Amino acid sequence: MPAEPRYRAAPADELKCEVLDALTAVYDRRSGQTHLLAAPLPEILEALGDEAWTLPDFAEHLSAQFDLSSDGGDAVRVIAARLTELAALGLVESA
Amino acid sequence: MKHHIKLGIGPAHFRIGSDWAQPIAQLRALYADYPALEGPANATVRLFAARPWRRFIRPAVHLGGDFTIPDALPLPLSMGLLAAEMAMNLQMALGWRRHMLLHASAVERNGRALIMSGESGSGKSTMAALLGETNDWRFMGDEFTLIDPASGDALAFPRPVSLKNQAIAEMAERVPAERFGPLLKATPKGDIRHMVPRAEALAAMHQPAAPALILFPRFGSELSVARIAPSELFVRLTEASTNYALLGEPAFTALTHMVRSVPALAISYPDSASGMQLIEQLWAEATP
Repeated sequence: MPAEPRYRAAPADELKCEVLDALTAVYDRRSGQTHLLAAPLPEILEALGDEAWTLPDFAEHLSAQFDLSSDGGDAVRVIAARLTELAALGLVESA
Repeated sequence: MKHHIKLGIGPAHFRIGSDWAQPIAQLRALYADYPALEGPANATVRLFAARPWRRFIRPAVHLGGDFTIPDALPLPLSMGLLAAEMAMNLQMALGWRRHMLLHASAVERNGRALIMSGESGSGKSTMAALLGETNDWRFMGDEFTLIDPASGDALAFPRPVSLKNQAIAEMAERVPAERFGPLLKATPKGDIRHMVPRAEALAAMHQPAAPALILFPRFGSELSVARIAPSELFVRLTEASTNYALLGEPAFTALTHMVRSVPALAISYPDSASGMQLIEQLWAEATP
């Protein structure tokens, strides 16, 4: 059985984040690309820190910090979708 | 190149070469009042014949320089001045790395800059030209505004204003004839006539100004003013910049600082007089 995927944010010293208003501008030093992120993507990026998380662990970690206001299974699906979006931008790696 | 001229416009030092005498002679006349340029050029522009024989038979001007666009539109020799202007724009847009380039006009007052960004026909050029003719404002540029990534200051690029169509008559009422170049009729952009900025603007071309207000004007509809949020301003300015991505992190830092500290508004106005009045009012509110 394959190991559960783990999610890891891009190294913090490779990203420069500036809150503009409802959106946060993120400059990725590795790619030279600028991303504009809406909530909760900047919060997820910050909560990942420099650890590699499994989805259930990260969902639990995030729900301890934020009121996710939905039943557990739904929250996990939503978080998985957001992690996939961050991965598509190159800001999160899953392995 | 058989004919050439050096032109200093703000921090840009152009060396313009041409296969023909006429565009260089026209440039020499148009830029006669600009300060003499010393030192090496940092941008090169070439106006060359498409084929050697075309110099003599139905001459057409091709644009070249440090950067070229392969299918750049050949223009008839009578439009050599326009070709030179387009080639200078091209070199700035593609090659300039010292500053973040905004496709925007700018005027200065009390050391602070009003920046106006918008598409061709938005009125940004005419508004900067009109304000620059009053004693309250210094004309900084009608096409490009340079942002110093380190300080965030706006730097002038006061090329002669490229007046189009009805703006030509509007400015001719206010400005002495000797400050105009030849009328270029029926160019791909319509009728064009260049107007040399006032001597004060040329003398002060190296003085930076801190951005204090950013406007996105739209000419020809009812008066309106809408505030632009920092994130929308960020997107609009990256779109208005030809070299944001090229400059990397310094441009990101300068731009995020600018969008958080400088108010920005989208405005529309039915005519130049009401546009100027509105801009004066908004400037007074932004710079108490």
